[in-house]
Amino acid sequence: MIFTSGFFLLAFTIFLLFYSFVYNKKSLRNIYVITFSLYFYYKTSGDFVIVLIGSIVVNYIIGLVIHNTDFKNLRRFSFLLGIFANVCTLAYFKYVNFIVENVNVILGGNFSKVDIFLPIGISFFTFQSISYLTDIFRRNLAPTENILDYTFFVSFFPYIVAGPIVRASEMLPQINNDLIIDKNDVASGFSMICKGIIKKGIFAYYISQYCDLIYGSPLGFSGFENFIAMIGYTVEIYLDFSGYSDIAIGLSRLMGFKIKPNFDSPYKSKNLIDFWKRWHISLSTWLRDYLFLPLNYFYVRHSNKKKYYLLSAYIFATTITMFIAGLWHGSSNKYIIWGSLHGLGLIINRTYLFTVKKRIQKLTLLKFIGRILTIFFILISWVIFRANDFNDAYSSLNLIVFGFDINYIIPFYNARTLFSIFLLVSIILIFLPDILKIKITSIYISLPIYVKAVIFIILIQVILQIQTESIQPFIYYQF
Amino acid sequence: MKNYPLLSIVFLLLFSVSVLTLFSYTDDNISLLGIDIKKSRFKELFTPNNSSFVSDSVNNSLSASGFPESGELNALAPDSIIARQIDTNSQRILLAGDSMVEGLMYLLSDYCVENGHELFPVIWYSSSSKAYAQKNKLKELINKYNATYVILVLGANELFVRDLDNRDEYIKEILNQSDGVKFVWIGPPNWKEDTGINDLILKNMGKDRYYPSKNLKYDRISDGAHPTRKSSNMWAEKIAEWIVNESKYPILFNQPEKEYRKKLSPMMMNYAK
Repeated sequence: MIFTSGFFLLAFTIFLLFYSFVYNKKSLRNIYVITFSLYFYYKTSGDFVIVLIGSIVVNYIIGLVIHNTDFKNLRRFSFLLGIFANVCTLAYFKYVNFIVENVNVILGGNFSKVDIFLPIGISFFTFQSISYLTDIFRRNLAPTENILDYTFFVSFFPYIVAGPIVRASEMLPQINNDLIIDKNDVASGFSMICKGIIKKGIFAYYISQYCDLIYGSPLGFSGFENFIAMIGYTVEIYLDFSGYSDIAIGLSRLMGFKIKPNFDSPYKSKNLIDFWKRWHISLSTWLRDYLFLPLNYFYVRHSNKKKYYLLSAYIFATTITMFIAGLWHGSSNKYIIWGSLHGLGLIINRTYLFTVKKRIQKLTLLKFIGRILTIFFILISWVIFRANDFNDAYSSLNLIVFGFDINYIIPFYNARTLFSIFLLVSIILIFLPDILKIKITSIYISLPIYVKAVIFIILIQVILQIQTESIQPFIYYQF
Repeated sequence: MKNYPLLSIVFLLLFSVSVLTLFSYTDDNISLLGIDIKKSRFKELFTPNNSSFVSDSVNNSLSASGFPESGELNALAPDSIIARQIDTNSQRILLAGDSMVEGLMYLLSDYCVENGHELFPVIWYSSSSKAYAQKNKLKELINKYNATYVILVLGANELFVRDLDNRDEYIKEILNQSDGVKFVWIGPPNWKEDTGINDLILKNMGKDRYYPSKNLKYDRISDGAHPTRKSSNMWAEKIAEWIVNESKYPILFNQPEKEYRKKLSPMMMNYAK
């Protein structure tokens, strides 16, 4: 069950009908939402809902032990046990075959792969659980009063499948308190949902078909087509992911829960450090708070405080953090390469900021070059991320560099007119000034409900039209 | 309403779902500015026993038919081939499809010369089931060549499609176009796992009219997709074996004793243009 499916639309409509009568009765509301969330998870992951429930129970108990015990060693042991249990669960489901594969290659072993299914959203709820335990261990958070509140926090259906990664400190006070839903919450929540549907269900979906085609066999296409696929995927991944986040945040808002934005126009970043402050914010801040900063402090504490020790600490912490960030995205070497590449980019960026004088950094030309380099870096790194493997990524980039011919632009447009228009409109929307986006949103919010209904039906109909309008396949013969 | 701010959105959603559901129940097709207005699948959601989406129904039909898994097909024991009624008449064979036809036509031409058939290759570059269905192409070609046997090589351009419902319709339409003429479908030689096109063809054609080319191993030319000439010849041999031994319409298709090098003049079209 995904947000843009007809089944979800129907199920959510029925859910919301009853929710509108129970949202201000705390206990009833929480039980009702938990039931729907578990049903939602069951529909997406089947029997693996047991893994989710198991994770909830174990983490809840460990959280209580960490908080209530007076024995320092037991406290520390419980915390480490909790982290270990979460990491092992994630490693088992997500990385066991990846480990087997690499062991076989490196050590020449002949271990068989495990026939295993990855429970959807496990990376997200595991990270939420780790942050919950860590915050309790750091005494920044008290555990939930009862297991139902914790179950609500972990299993909340808008974010259980694909984030954002919400912190307990952000969500638990809202779960515990009486909710006030006003007209503004409803209007802005619904506009967020519509925005997400446009991004994910229409633009990202249509563009993805072209990218799937090219990255299915990059050598079968020209350098120009690979170049467009590189741009296309850069657009697609942003629209798809931020669209999903918009829907999740919009659904939560509609239900009276406020979740922080997960994206902030990342392709407008002035440098790579800035990019990571705007891209998948819930993950990047999680990595910062629970991995990067502890590693950084660890290095600083153990260093001899010689010249550049702060930069060395940054390099040490960034290298490990971005390696793990890459691995978090998937069990494949290409994600590790992607993450490590970003780590290297961040280190170069930080070194530049650390060593070049502020006065020079402020030069307009250098700032402009910085923006261009950033977007180029991001484009190239997405090729590695998207291609089936590193060889395909290399082939695609090789074709872009050595086989690019601008003369393909007219025949390409003639052959793929609709796709070209979709891509162009998407790029314009991505780079639209924020003020204009806010204005469009406020105009939409102020529309009468029946106009919104018509717009919504048109949106769903456009999705139906788009999702059956497939991209024309192999056209290389044309050139 | 003031105490229940969510009700306005609930009504909006209910209204939208109702409109889309009612429209899905209508039998007529509506066009707007020449575009067919697609129907939602709410009808399926409200119809018991018909709610599975394509992939589920394909999977069910696969398991129900007892079709062997990938790789098993070639391992079928030779003695399982019962004495078959081979049609020994000379055939007018239409070999149609996408660019993959180009690789197959040379050896299949030799097979035809050897066995007294006539071959009419038609290469429609970049074509798909959609193209053949919507342009009524198969029927047109059958009539044009007065074909008595059709070998359709199609699906390579549809390995990554997501609109499987539509593809299902296109395949059914193509099947209708064959209009009783002996017709086998040669599946695409996958270079990557497909999103379901092979399963769909199998579902509609049945295992005795569909050859699962994806189970073979190929050497590819530089585009990574099309088999080399040598590999195409191996593919053609396997197809010929299958036609004689396992297909619903076995014909005389003995292996050629030599290369006949008959000059071929395939009809060539390009769907992309």
